[in-house]
Amino acid sequence: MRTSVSFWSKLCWLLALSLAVSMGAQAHGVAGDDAAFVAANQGTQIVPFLYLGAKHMVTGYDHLLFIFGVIFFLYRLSQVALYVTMFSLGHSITLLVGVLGGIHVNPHLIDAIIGLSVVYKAFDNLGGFRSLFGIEFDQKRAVLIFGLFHGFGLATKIQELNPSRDGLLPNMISFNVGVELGQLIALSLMLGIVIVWRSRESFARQAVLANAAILTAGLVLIGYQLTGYFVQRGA
Amino acid sequence: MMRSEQAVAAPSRKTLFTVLIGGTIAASAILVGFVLPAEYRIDPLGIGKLTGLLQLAGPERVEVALPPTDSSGSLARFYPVAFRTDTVEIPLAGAGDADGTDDLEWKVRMRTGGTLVYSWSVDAPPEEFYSDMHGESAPTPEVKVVTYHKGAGIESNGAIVAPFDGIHGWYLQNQAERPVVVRLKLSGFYELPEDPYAGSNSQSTP
Repeated sequence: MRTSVSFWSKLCWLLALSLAVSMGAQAHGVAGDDAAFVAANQGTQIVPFLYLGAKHMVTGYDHLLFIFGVIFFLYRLSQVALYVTMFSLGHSITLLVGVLGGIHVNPHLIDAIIGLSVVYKAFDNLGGFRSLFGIEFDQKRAVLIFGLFHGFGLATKIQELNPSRDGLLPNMISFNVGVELGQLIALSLMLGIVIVWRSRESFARQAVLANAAILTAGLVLIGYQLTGYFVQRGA
Repeated sequence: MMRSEQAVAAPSRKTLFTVLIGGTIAASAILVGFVLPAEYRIDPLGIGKLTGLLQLAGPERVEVALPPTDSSGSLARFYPVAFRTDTVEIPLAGAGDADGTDDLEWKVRMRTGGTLVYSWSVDAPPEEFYSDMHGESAPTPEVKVVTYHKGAGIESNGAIVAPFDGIHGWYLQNQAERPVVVRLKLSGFYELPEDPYAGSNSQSTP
């Protein structure tokens, strides 16, 4: 009885924390003055787009939650590098193809799939697919495929701003490199936290709670974006 | 193979079910209680109203129905100032052209009962131009909105009487591939706002 009470109180605490973090971070779109810059800009602007890409990643909680889920149980740095490379490969392809090829995808549906990727990774970390369904996915392939969807998400954010065709290729490459830089920054922070956390005795039990919280946050993202999709269609 | 490289938390099936059910309940509660009221003004439990979260969703928009054209209370209207006349040329980029905008809002400020007579035409191919003539009030706290006319077409002529204080005008959208220019002529009892292109901004005070 006592353990179950402490389970729920800890879960609530983690939820409150993840909620606070997500409210602090502005996940969606490029806001205010940044948006005005992209809309008004003509020609090649390497550093500004580099910065915008990095900023979008560092403050994008949906991408961060997924990466956090991916690295949660990766103990070897070479493994971290491999998985993050798969993710980067995936989202770079669709970011560039999406923006340069003018492919428009509904941002709400894409963001809902990004939410699904978060749920998937948390459930996988809990061993849920194996234990409840007896199936096991190829993790590298899964990260690559969800990376493709995350890239479309990045593309829709850029497309909303109507960037100029003049200098679009170098600007998008700069944005993409910025995304990778931002990801590296966020990743180092998260790795630091996870490594310290894993060295503690209580990690094993808290790992279940943490992934339960990530799963919950992913479900909230899905509901948020799907509602947005239907509200938009009704309007 | 994959798993040998990657450890996982391996809770019991019972704990997994608890996590799934608990997570779904918690996510639904967060969504219905907080996210939906704050983002979309959807507030089935009334928590958004209770906590003030609803304010984050922006002002409520109330659609004002136009009375039928033949049932006006009085067909004569009088004003303390002379009417004004303006001619505006509004250029629009080709549809999907990244170097310019292919759609925008252009609006004037009108008082309740103000009259506006207008004509506009555009050099776009027929069926490749869309417009939506509408008006909206400042938030008081809800925003009143009215739709006068919308649809495809390359010209429009008409007159409106503003049903409330606010900004009234057009959303114009070029669907042709080449750039076009809208030529708008208007007369009546209205004012030009500082920026007629500011568009449907509920925060602007008419």
